[in-house]
This record gives sequence, C-alpha cells and structure tokens, in this order.
Amino acid sequence: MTRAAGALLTLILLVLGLFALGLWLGGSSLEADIERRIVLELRLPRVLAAFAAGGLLGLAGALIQVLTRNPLADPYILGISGGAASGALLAILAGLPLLFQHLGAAAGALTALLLVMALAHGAGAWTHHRLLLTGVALAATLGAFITLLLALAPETALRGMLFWLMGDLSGAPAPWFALAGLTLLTLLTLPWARDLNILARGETSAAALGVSVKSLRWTVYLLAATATALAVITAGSIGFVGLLAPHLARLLIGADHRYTLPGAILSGASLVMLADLLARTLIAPQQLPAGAVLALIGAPLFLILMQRGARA
Amino acid sequence: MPVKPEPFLSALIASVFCFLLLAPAPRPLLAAPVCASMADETRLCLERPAERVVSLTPHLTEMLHAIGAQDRIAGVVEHSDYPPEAARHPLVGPFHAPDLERLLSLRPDLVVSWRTGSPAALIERLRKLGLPVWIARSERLDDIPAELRALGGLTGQDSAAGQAARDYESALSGLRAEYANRRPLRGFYEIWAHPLITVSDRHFIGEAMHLCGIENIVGSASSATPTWNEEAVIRARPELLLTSPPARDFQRWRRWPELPAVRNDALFILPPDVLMRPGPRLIEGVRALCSSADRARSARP
Amino acid sequence: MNPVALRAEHLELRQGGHTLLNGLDIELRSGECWALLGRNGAGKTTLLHTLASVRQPDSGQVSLFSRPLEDWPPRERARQLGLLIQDAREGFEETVLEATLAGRHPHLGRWQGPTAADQALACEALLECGLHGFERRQVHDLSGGERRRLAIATLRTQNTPVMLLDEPLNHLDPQWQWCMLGQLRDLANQGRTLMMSLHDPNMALRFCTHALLLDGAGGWRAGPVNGIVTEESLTEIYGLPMRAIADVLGIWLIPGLAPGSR
Repeated sequence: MTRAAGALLTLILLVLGLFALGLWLGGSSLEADIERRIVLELRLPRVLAAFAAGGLLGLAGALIQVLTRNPLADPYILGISGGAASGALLAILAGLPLLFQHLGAAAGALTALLLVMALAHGAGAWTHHRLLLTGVALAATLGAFITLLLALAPETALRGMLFWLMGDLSGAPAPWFALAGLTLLTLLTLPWARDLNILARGETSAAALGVSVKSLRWTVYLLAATATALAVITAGSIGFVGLLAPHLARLLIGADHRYTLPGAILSGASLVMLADLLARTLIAPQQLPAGAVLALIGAPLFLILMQRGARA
Repeated sequence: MPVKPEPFLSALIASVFCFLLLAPAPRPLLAAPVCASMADETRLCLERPAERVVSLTPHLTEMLHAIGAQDRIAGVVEHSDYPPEAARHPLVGPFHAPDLERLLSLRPDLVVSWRTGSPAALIERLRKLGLPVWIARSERLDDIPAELRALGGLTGQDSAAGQAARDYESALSGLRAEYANRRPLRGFYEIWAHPLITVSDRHFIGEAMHLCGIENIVGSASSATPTWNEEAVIRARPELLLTSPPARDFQRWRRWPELPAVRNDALFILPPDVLMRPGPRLIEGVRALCSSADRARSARP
Repeated sequence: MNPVALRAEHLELRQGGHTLLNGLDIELRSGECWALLGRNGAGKTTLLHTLASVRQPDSGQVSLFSRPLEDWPPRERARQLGLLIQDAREGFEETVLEATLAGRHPHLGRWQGPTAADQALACEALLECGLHGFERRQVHDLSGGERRRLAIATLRTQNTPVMLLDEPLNHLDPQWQWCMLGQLRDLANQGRTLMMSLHDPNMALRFCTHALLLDGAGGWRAGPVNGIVTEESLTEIYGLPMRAIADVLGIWLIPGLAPGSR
C-alpha cells in the first residue's frame, strides 16, 4: 500500500501548505497587533471553515457514491443541501442576522433529511433506487422553491442569496462546530471502511461476506447526510467538490476505502481551501464566489488526472 | 298590444353607439412629436406626448410624480412606494420580472426602463411588439436632472420637469460648494454584509461620498458594486462606516476598536431608499450622507 | 458418518405468492458435494440465498453446525459459510487482487488490513483459477469467464468450510468448466461441504456426491447422486424426455428427442 500512503502523505502536505498560504497571503501593512488579529480572527476561521467544509463534502460524496453504487452521485442529490439552502435563503429574505441564516440552513437540512427518510422508508423495501429517487424528487422540489425565493427577493438581497448558493466562506460561522463534526464523523466512518469496500460490490455479496447490509446502509446514509448538512451550513451549497473529491481520491489512491475515505476528505479539503484562497486573493481586495472558482479549477484538474490515469 | 320597435332603426342606433365608443378621442390640434435621448446615446421620438406610461423601476415612478406626470402613469412595478399615492397605480410585477401580459393589457404608449435594472430581454420583446421603450441610465448624480427633463419632454410636462431638475441641480451644487473644502475622511459604504458588497467610485453613492468629502476606500473597482474583502476594509482604517437598512450585522464592525470609525462611534445607518434610488430624492440621501460625514469629523478628537 | 454442516428443517420458500419449495428436510455433511438441479425459476437461487442467510426462509429453519442460522453473528457466519452469487458485479474500479481479498473480509478485525498470509491465500486462489499474473489488472478489463473465475477465487479466499455456489460454471468454456468442478470436488474431498446449482446433469454425475432436485412447485428429491439423477427424475423435473447412454466413463444423460420434434 505504498502508493496509497504516498498519495495520502502528498495530500496532507498539500493541505498544510494551503493552510499556511491561507494564513499568510493577503497582504500586510499595519502594525503587528492588528495584523495578528486579522490572521487569527478573519483568516484562520475562514481557512479552517474551508478545510472542514471541503473535508465533509469529500467524505459525504464518497459515502453517497458507495450507498447509491453510482459514481456520478453527489451528496446534494439527497435533497439535504436544497433543504439547507431553502432555510438559509428564507432567513436572508426575512432580513434576519447571520446567525439565523446558519440556523435556518441547519433547520432546513434536518427537515429535508427527515423527509427523505420518511418518504424513502415508506411501506416497501428500502432500496438504493428508492432512496436515490426520493432524494432526487425532493431536491427538484426544493430547487423549484429556491428559484421561487430568488424571484421574490429584492435586488439587494439577491446577490447575497446567489453567493450563498454558489458557496461562500466570507460569512462562515465559527468553524469549530464543523471541525468537530468532521473529526467525529471521520472517526465514526473509518471503522466501516472495509465494510464499504464490500458494500460497493453489491448488497447480496456484501451480506454473504458477513456485512449487516441494512444497518450499514442506514449508518452510512445518516453519516453522509450529517456531513452534507454541516458542510452546507458552514460554506453554503458549494458545488462539485462532493462529486470530484472521491473521484480524485480513487484516481490517486485506489478503491480501498480505508485509504480512499481519508483521501476524499483531504482532496475535498484542499480543493475548497485552494478555491477560497484564489477567490480571496485573485483580484483582491475584490472577492469571487469560492464555488465558481472551485468549478473552474476543479473540472480541468479532474480531466487532466483522468487522462493521466488512463494512460498509466 | 305592445309597440314593437322598428328593427332597422334599433340597428342604426346601435351602430352609431358602437361608432361613438370605438372612435379615437379627439386629439389636440397642435400635437407635435417629442424626443428624448437615452442611455445608449440614441433618441426616442413619439408622435405626441405619452399618456399611458408604464414605469419599470420605483425611481422612475418617483421621477414621473416629481414632474407632475402622475396622471399619465398606467402601471408600475412592485416597491413603487413613493410618493405614498404611487402605491395606487396598477402593478405589473417585480422590477426584475414584470408580467408581459399584464403590462400589455394596460395599453401603454410608453414604457420607461432602467439600463442596469430592467431585464434586457423584456425590453427587446416590447420593442419588437412596437412599443416605444425609453431607457434611463441613472448611474451618475448628474443623470437625474437630465432624465427628469427627458421624461418631461416625453410626457409633455416640460415646465414642471424643468423646475424639478433645477431644484435638484441647485441643491446639489449647494451641497457641492458647502462640502468642497471639508477635511477628507476615509469612508466605506456597505450594501450587504455576507458577502461584503460595497460601492465603488463608479456608483452614484461613491460619487456622493466624494461630494461630501469622503474618500471611498474602495476607489475605482471593476464593478459599481464589487464584493469586497473584510480585511481590506480593516487595513484601510476607515474613519466612517456607512450602510442603509436593513443593515444586517452592521454592528459586527465594532469588534475592531482599532478602526477610527469604531473608536469615534462613526457607524451610520442612513435613511432607507433615498440613497439607493437614483431618483429626485437622492439629494436627501446625499444630504444625510454629508451630515453623517460632518458628525464623524466633529467626533474626531 | 461425517458431521452435519448445514441442515434445513421443514423449509418453505415462496416467491411472488407462489410456493417454490415445501417442507425441505435435508442434511449436508462435510465431505459432501451437492448438485442442485431444477429448471429455470424452480427456486435454486432462492434456496441457496436462504441457506446462506442472505434471505429469510418463509417458514422452517436452517442451522449451520447445529446452531440456527439467525443466531450466528454475520461475520462469524461468513467465516463458516460462503456464497458465490450468480452475477457478481464489481464495485468501483479495483484490481483483481483487491477483489479477491474481499473474501478475507469476515476474517479481519475492524481496523485490520489483509496480512501477508491473506495475500498468499488470495494469490494461491488466483493461481488455481488461472488468474496468476492478473493481480494488478483492473477487474473491468477482464472477460466474462475471467470474472467468473475471479469470483470463485474470491470464494476460495473466503476459505469457508461450507460453500454454496450459484451456477459456478456460467461463462466458463468447457475446459474451465471441467477444471473448476474438479477443483471444487477436491475441496469437498478435503472435508468441506459444497452445494452448487448446475444445468448439466452430466456434470452432477461426474463431480458431485449428492443431488437435490427441485420441481419448482414445492416438490423435491434428495440423495446420493446416482440414485437421484436418473432418466425418470430428470424427465419429470425438466419436462423433457431424457435418455441415458452408457460408455466407459459411466452414464450420460441427454435429451431424448430430435430437435423440433416436441
């Protein structure tokens, strides 16, 4: 497993490098006192929030792809982010302070989660198709609701709402919550890593190999949903990373989730950290939406890696 | 035995009534074409002054009222709330997505729109349908009197419009003269907190800040309302922090006592609408802005 | 007599409101290699899945080494009993070796990865199944027959005393059919218990010790292969006249009608 270890080490170094750059870049001119406060109170929370949100989305994406056995699945298909977005945008529309925007996102995510669970469970069998379709239907409904909110929004609020939808870390709340969530969820997920390898091969073979498929699927779903919700509350519905990070991890590391999961967490974290760093500094002091920057750098990066992977 | 009406006669009477109902209203004998220039440097000409105007932004509704053309307003967009009686006009929907059918059903003979605020596709559509659409620029302080006069021309309210424009111009030049030699202050105007959206020199608020002797720390950016970095604000050490309602999370700046604005308690929430709407009341907004700058100057030790 | 490995008592299987199998009482002992025969839809897969605890019986009970199947913790059970499913699907891209090592899953602790001994076991299974040198290849690049052999290698790596195989010969060419069945019989001779669904009664006659025939309407017959796999019983379960032809190797059962003369 030297390849996996090497790739993980590279990713860790990348994250550390981005962490240092995130704290260091952005100019300095004033006395040391205020500079220290800028770094500690503005840059540090933002870098940590980017790390946590990216890591959470990478983890959620890897889990959802196993759960649905669909490499194109993205944590947002489960409707969780749509719920969070609806809650957050309603709070913005109501003119409530930032704290309520986060609380609204949390309430929306939780509502969506419970709705998907109730609807997907229903009377019949709890299959991955049913879960997927319920999530897709809910996500579509919420998407329409979000469009409606945007149509009703006054012009001043519209920019803030669009930034939130694209993913924005400038208003990230105290990142400790998301960081604690990431740590806890990682610790809860890693013991199941090998079971996930088996589950990815299909439910019948997984059951024959001694995996408690039903309880594992519930566990994985809840872990992924919680991770998605925490990420979206922290950074808005920053797109693409949940799909991209697990694929990057598989390209770099392989299919063994004992390494792929940490790999997806670190890839997601570095993608969002890099995107936010660029969003913050590229045309500083003007700002770009981190989500848009992420899609702009992420997609070509992924294509390049895939080309190299195919040639190797 | 009841008298049976003569069929031929009743038909004749009916058709005369119909003719009277359908006939065009008598026109003034001396109706001359009226013209006004627009944001895109072209001119719009009407055969005669417009009588049914639909306004696609609240500030153009305010302008029409200010030049005494309120009776010629056939419809307005939502949030057209000033003067208060403007709320009585029929609505055509929100400014960014007016309802085309409702707009057409009001049978306007002129639609007035704003280059940066009205949907371009809708304007294109209206023009293809043969409706005259006038487009305002409303980007600089000096655009407002020019646009008041243009609207006056298009609605046959030249003299009232000229008066409104002159009032605005003299108030503006009075303020300009009054604040020309005040000590410059570094200031920052916040439109929205998360993300942090502000105004640059390209915006009329930026222009107004300059007029009041406030040096906008944003300067000239690529957009009139750029998204800005919080730490750049702190590093520029503003002496004045400004916003307008809803002023969400505005007080968070108080976490930075290092800023002269915070130390001197120079965080001001300006009155709603008047500063954000490039209409005739903008002069009140500029006045409020200038007086907040004065308060910041006097607070300085 | 060898000890009983797997026992079914009064087992009943239903599918879509239709009874497939009724009151099955059967004992599979170590060293026995069972053939499971029956026409399409007779319930072969359903029975194997039920015996492997992947599916619940509709009534009756299955016990593994005298302990009811549902009392076994799943991982412990998977160390004793393995199932080869009919259409193994791969997960995300993985190498042949990684796929084979999946068989070690129930033997490893939660935090443990495959050890050198596990790797050796997997490599030996791959060698037996003719996949030596394929270890680093992607599963997606394998042919259908190679994938089937990979699935059998994975089951061998799971290394359980009881092995249930659903159509192990799918996609295999005649040479590999022969070779695989020979190896599976050897596993039984070493003291394991095997049951596999087959479509060719001659394979059952050549390689199996016992047979279980399902008629798909609830009825079944079980016993030593020579007494069960006969002209009469096959004619009955397949609904097609069968004849026996004898040669030096023994009896061959073939359809007794010319094509098209039904």
